[in-house]
Amino acid sequence: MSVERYNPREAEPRWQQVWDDAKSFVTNTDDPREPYYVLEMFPYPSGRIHMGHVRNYTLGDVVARFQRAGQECAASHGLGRLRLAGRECRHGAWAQSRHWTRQNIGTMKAQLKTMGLSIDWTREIATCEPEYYQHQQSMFIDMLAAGLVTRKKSKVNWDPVDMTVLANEQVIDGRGWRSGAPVEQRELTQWFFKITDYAEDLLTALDGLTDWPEKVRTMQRNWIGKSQGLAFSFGLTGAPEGFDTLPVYTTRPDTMRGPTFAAIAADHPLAKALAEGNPEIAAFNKLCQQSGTSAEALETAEKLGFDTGIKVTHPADPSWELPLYIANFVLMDYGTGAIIGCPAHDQRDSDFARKYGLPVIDVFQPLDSDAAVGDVAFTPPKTQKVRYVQWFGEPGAEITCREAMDQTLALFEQNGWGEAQTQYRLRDWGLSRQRYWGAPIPIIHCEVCGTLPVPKKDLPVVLPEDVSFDKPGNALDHHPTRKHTTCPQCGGAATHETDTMDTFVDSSRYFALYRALRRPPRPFRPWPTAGCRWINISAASSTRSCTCSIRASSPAP
Amino acid sequence: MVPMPPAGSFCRIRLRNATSSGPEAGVEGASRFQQRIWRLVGETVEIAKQSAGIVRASDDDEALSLRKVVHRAVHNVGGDIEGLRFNRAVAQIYELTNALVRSAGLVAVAPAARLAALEEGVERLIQLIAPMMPHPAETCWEALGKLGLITDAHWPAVDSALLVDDEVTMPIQLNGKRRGEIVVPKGLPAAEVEKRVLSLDEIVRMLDGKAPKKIVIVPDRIVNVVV
Ligand SMILES: [Zn+2]
Repeated sequence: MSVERYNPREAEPRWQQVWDDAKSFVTNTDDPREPYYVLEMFPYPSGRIHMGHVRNYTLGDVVARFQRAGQECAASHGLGRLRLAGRECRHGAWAQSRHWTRQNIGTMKAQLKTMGLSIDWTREIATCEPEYYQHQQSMFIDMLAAGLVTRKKSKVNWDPVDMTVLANEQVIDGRGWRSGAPVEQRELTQWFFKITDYAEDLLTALDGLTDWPEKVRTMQRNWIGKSQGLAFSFGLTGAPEGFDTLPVYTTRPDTMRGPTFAAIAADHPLAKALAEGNPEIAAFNKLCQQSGTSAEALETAEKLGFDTGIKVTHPADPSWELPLYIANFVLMDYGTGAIIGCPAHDQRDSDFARKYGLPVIDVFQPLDSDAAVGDVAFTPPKTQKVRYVQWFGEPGAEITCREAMDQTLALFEQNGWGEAQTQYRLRDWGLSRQRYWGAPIPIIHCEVCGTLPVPKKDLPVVLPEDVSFDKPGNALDHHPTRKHTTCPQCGGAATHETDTMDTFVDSSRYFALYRALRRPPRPFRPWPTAGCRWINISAASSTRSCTCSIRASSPAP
Repeated sequence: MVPMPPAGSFCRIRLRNATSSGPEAGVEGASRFQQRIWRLVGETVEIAKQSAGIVRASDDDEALSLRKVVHRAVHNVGGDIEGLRFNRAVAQIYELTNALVRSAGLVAVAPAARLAALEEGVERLIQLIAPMMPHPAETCWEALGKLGLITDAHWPAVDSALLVDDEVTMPIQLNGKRRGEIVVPKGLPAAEVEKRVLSLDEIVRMLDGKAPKKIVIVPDRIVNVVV
C-alpha cells in the first residue's frame, strides 16, 4: 500500500455518495430493535450554517452513528434522525418570504449534507409548508372544542408604524425595534392557549425531569411562579358608582399592618372609570401605557403615581384609611391589578413612598437591632427569624416570615377578612400575530353565527403566496380576496381570521412529526397519535405546555 | 506526545472540509490525527502482507497487554459516547492510537503472536473513530479489506475477561528519587520483582556496573533501590 496522505477532498464526497446510494440513513421502521431517536433543535433557515449548528449536529451525529452501530449487548437500536424546517423570515426579507426561506433551506441542506451527517432526509420537514402546519390548525380546532383555546382582550405592545404587535423583547427604550416609533399599549382581541390550566401539572412534572440542569428547572419554576397568598378586598370611600370594593391579592399577608398606601394599574377598570371624568387622570394613564410591560422595563422605569383622592379601608379595621394611587409599576394582568404598598419591606414600595412623602411602618426588624428601616427596604429570606413589631400576632414574636404568613392567613380566614389563595405568574399563551408569516388561524367570522372553526374537511387553510408587502401591517388583511369566504353554518358572507399563529407554535411540535411517515401533502390527514412508541420526550417551556394541551385534547386512541 | 485536540475540533474539521471556508482554529490537531491513523492502517496492512503465511500463534505478554488496552478502550469509549463525554472518548482513542503505533514497531519481534493483536486493535480503533470521523473511517475500513460499510458495522464486542485489571504499576525509586516504573502481574513475589527491576535498561545504566546496597520491595506498591 502506498504512503499517500489521506485526502478528505476526495474521500468525503465519495463516501457521502455511497451512503446516499445505500440509503444508509433512511429509518427502517420494521426494525424490531428498540428504537432510538436522536433529535437536535432544528435550524432557523437564516441562510448559512454556522459554528453553533456544526457543533450541535456533529455531536448529535456521533451519538446517532454510535447508537446505529448498536451495543455489544443484545439490545440494540434503530433510529431516525431528521430535521430542518423553515420558520419565520427575518426582518428585511419579508418581500419574497416563502421563496426566500425555501432557497435558504436548500443552501443549508447542501452544507449539512457535505458534513456527512447521518440524517434521514426523507423525513425533512419545513414549518412554512401547509403539509406541516395543517396539523397545527387541526389541533387548534380540537383545543377550541376542548375549551383549551380562548379569545380575549389583552394588552399588547403596538408598533403604530409597522402596525404589528411586538414582543417585550422587541421594545427597546419604549420604541419598536424595527421602526423606532414610540410603542403604544393597545387592547386587542387575541387568541390564547390556556396553558394556565396546566400550571400545576407543569410545576410538579419538573420534579421528574432529573436529567435537566437545576438552573433550567429553577427558571421554569420561576416562570410558572406559584405563590400562596391572601386574597381580600379593600373597602372604597369616594369611588365612582359601581365600585364598592377593591379586590387585592398579596403574597405577604404578614405585612398587613404595614401598608401606607394602595395602588392600581393604569388600565384597571377603576382607573379607566376615573379617567372618564378627569382629563388629568386620562393623561396620566396614557403616559403609563407608553412604557414597556416587561419586568425589566418596570424595574428600571421611574416609579410614577397619581393620587386619586379615593380612600381605601383596611379589611381588618374599616376605620383605617389609606390613599389610593394609580401607579405605573402595577400590572393589570398580574393578580387583580391592585396592590397594598408596604414601604418597609418592598424596595419598589419604598421608592414610591419616599417620592410621594408617604409614611413607613416597620412590620418586623432584625433580631439584633431595633433601628427603624431606612431608605433600603428590609427584605430578609422568608426562612429567617425576625422580630415582629407591627402585625396581627403576638407583639415582639421572634419567628420566621413564613410562620408569620401562615399565622396571619389563618387569622384572616377565621375572621372572614380574606382567604388563602394559590396564584401562578404563568400567563396564557397569546398566539395571535398580526402578520403574514405564520400558520393561518382556522377561524371564520360570521356576522350572524359569530366565530366558528373552519370545518376540518376544508383544512389546511393555506397561506396565499400572491401577497404584497407594500403597505405596513398584515398582508393577509390587505389581500383582495383571501379574507372573504362563506359561513359554514348559514352559508352567508363571512370573513377568514387574518391573525396567524406565533411561530413558536410551529417549533413546539416538530419533534413529534419527524417520526410520522411521509404523507402526500393534501388532502388533510389527522395528526398521527397512534403508535407513538417513538416519542417519550421532555422538552422546554412552550413545548411542555403545548404537549400537555395536545394530550388533553387528543381523542383517546 | 502529540497534544490531544478537543472533540470540538472534529466538528470543525468536518465544517472546514465541507465548506473549505470554515474556521481553522484547532482543526490542525484533528487533521494530523487523521493522517496518523491513516499511516498506522497503511503500516498494519503492509506488515500483514509481509507476514502472509505466518500462522497466528497464541498471545505472548506484549500481545496480551495490547489486547487489554484495546478492549478497555472499546469499553470506555462506548460508555463515554453514551454519557456524552466526548472529550474523554477522544482521549481514550488517542491513548489507544499511541499504544497501537508503538506496538506496530514491535510486531517484527514476534510476528506470530503480535500481528493478530495489532490487527484486532487497528480494526477496533477504526470502529471507535467512525462515529466522530466517518469519512476517514470508511477509507481505512476499505483499506483494511473489510466487507461492507463501517456505517453498517456493529459496535465491537468487548471480552470482559480482558477488562480485569490484573497488573500493577510499581514506581521505582533510586535513593529515594523516582527514576521509573515497572508493570508486573499483581502479587508477583519480591524476588521476581527484584530480578525484573535489575534487568531494566535504565536501572542497569544508572547502576553503572555497581551492585545495589539494598533493594526494598513492598509487593504491588513500590520498589526502592539504595546504592
Ligand atoms: Zn353564519
